[in-house]
Amino acid sequence: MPFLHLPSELILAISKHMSPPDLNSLIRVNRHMAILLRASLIDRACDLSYFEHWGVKAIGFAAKLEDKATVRRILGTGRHRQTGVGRTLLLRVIKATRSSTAVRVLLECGVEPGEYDDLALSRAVEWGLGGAVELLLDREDIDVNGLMCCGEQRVPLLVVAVNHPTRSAEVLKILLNHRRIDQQAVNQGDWLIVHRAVCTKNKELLQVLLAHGSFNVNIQDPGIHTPLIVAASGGWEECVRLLLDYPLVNTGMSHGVTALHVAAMDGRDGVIRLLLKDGRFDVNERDAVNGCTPLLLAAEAGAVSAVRALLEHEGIDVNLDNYAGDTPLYVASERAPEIVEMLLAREDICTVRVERWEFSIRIGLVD
Amino acid sequence: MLEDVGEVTEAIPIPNVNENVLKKVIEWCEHHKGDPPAQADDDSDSRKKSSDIDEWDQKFMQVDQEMLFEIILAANYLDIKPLLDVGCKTVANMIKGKSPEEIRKTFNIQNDFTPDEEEQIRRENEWAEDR
Repeated sequence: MPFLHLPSELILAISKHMSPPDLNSLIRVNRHMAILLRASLIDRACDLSYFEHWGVKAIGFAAKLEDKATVRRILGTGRHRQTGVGRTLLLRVIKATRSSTAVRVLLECGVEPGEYDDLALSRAVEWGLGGAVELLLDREDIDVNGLMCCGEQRVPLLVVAVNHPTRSAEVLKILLNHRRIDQQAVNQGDWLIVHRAVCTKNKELLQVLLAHGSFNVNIQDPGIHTPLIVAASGGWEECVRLLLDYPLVNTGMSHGVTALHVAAMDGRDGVIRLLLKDGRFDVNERDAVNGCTPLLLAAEAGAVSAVRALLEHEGIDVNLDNYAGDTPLYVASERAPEIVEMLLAREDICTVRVERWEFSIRIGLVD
Repeated sequence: MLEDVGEVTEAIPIPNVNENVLKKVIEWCEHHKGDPPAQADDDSDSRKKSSDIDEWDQKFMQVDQEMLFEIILAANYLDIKPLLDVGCKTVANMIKGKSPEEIRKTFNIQNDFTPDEEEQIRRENEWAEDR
């Protein structure tokens, strides 16, 4: 007697001892098995011992396909209440499907509020699921302004949002425009958010933040520069341009330097040209650390392209020294012959530093 | 079953069970006659693990497929629930972890799906695919 000749009731009895993936394999064997067993796969997933893994997968899959009949059938077993799934169903389904549709269908099918729904919201935000974020924000039983788990940190929801590489702007927009988001709380994490936007060169995100208006784009934390200086240092011209266009941006000093000093030091010639064209930066301004001009910092760093960009600017004083009396030509002579050449080519360069023989020899004035 | 028949003196014919199979069934019953009566069945719990077959039963079930299915049929016909369970679990274990193609080979089954049907049935239950 072959397997296929067993009466249907006995094949069904056998199937009750099988796990969902094994049963699925058997269903896919031939037509007879498919007709006989396909309806019992959901039941198997709803077995007490399988529900936590397979039941959640099954309900998530059905919800994603908007198969409400199956969703209701699974919810009707009440298994989610009897097992460890308990009140974490939404969170688990978000994890399993990463689908906004699935969340909507579950809510429409009457999934009850759960104690981990703030985590569900946090995950939806982190993974850029805009639709799910909107639905969960509307649920009055979720605390949307508390700190959320994100990796090992606990941070405001807005900070979670900036983690998404491509959809952070979209999700952040939803959050910022939602009535339930506390505008005071917006300010708690703003340096993190604006900095993240700048550091990830996320132009769309920065635009959303600047358009919203309640972010302090000049914020600085101990040890951290203003976003403009961070962008200048990284050479991120798009971000620099957006920040310069923002009326309230601080173009002054932060920790003793301006964006122009930092751009010079880091050799960002594109940024230097942008800043000098802007008109709010003084090309000859000494920093508050050692009294260095941008040109001196660029020369000291051996940043040839930055020196070239600075020398293009009218009104530059190439001879201004720092508090120690070092001039751009002097510091360049220590390491950058190309810059020495560029400086000596200028008519306004002053080479008279009699007290420094060593220096004069280096630049070829004395044999 | 005997209760259904009542007081009898004559032999009871068992037309659906051949001699070899009946011998196996009696062997199983002899071994298990001292077992405590089965607990009231919580349906979902009894089938929790297909692998929990005791050692003697595992050895007992080491027979060819033909005999295995005959034992299951006989256990069902004679209404010996624990033996039926052991038989079903044994078959479930034979399927465990196998792909559809491997199951076809094991039980010598022809694949009669059209490619479209095969794809449709795969999609329908995609969630149950990865283990």
